[in-house]
Amino acid sequence: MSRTLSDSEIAAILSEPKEIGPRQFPRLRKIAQRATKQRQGHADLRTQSRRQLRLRVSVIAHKNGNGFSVILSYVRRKKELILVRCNGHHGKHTNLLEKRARRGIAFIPPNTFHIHWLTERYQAFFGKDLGYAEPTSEFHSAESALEYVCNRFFIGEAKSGYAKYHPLLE
Amino acid sequence: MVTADIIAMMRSKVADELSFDQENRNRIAVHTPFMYQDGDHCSFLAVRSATGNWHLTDEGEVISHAGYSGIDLLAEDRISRFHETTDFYGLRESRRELLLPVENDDFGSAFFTFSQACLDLVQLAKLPPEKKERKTSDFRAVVRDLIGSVISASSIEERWYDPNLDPDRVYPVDMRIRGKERPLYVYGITNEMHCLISAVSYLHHATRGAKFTGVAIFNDAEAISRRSRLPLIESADVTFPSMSCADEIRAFFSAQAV
Repeated sequence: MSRTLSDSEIAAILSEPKEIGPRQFPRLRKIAQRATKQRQGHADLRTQSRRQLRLRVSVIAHKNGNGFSVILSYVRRKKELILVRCNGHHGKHTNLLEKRARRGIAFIPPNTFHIHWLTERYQAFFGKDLGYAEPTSEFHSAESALEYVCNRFFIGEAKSGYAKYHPLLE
Repeated sequence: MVTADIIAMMRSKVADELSFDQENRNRIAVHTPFMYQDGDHCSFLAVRSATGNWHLTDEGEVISHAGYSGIDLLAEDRISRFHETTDFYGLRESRRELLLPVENDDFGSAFFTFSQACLDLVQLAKLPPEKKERKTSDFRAVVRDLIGSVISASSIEERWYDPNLDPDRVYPVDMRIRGKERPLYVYGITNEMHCLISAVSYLHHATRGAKFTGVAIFNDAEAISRRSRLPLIESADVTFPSMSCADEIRAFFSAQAV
């Protein structure tokens, strides 16, 4: 990928309506529901802008069902750039820029549900890595994280005509 | 500040950055200050097994972390690097979980070894997949054995040059096989360059009036760019795109060869 995405470009991609194949969503939900078995899966999403987006679910067998990630990524020129990553429990997280500036959320304690966001700042400082994260109470399991990502980022099943209710299309 | 103070300060800071969480008598969570590139810290567990021995485990987190970008460290084109690294650090992988036994109660050494191994293993996801290209000579031996299983080995001439049309020995035919009606010129293709050389060899013989049946057998046609493979595919009389067609290859040669 030749250049970084600006915050406004990231926001535009996230707020765009996205369609997931009718068989894909139940498949990913099944992976998320069986959080005691090591599994992963992904589905490509359709958008009006023809951007290639991907929804990825991964579950770790241990951690009492709290080890998971639900990822929304943007695929361009065969490279995948993660826009949002919802994580379950693992070690501590440090937001390096906030730590240096001594403001905002510098640390997230271990075993806290959190969301990594792609930001212009962190791309500029640290390349394309997903360095910024925030704690969240929006989800508490892989399944609820999948639902959260679908609701928050306008992902609906293709057959449901979901996209026509999107505020940008009204 | 004297150097002794600096050393003491660094020691104390390093120790302060480590945190432990005693989950129960047999499990201790270790949270290290070492970070992956996305700001997540490396953390793992010290676990006592039923036999009373302690080991460190990441509970599948390292392979999962590396997989965020869609890369599986245990995939065929990455696993040898993965094993090189785990062997180097003395780790074992079981069901995507990394394990390191703590020997002689040396938890300190185990801590450093395991932390460094976790960081190195996640970094492996940044490397491109390994290219596993079968050597041309190896592949030719595989093709020869396959064909030799249905026809007499004496019918096969390897690395053959036409004494009349190619006295300078510039246009090799991988295998020349006596056919029922006309000879079979067999090309076993493993890479781009060999594919192009084979196409030139085929066309050299065909345009100079040689009567033969050209057979192209690819190790994996998809691995060769379309531009390089098309000249041979379009000119060869028979093409087998991969060795998954072994049954068809055997059937063809048992029907065509003497």
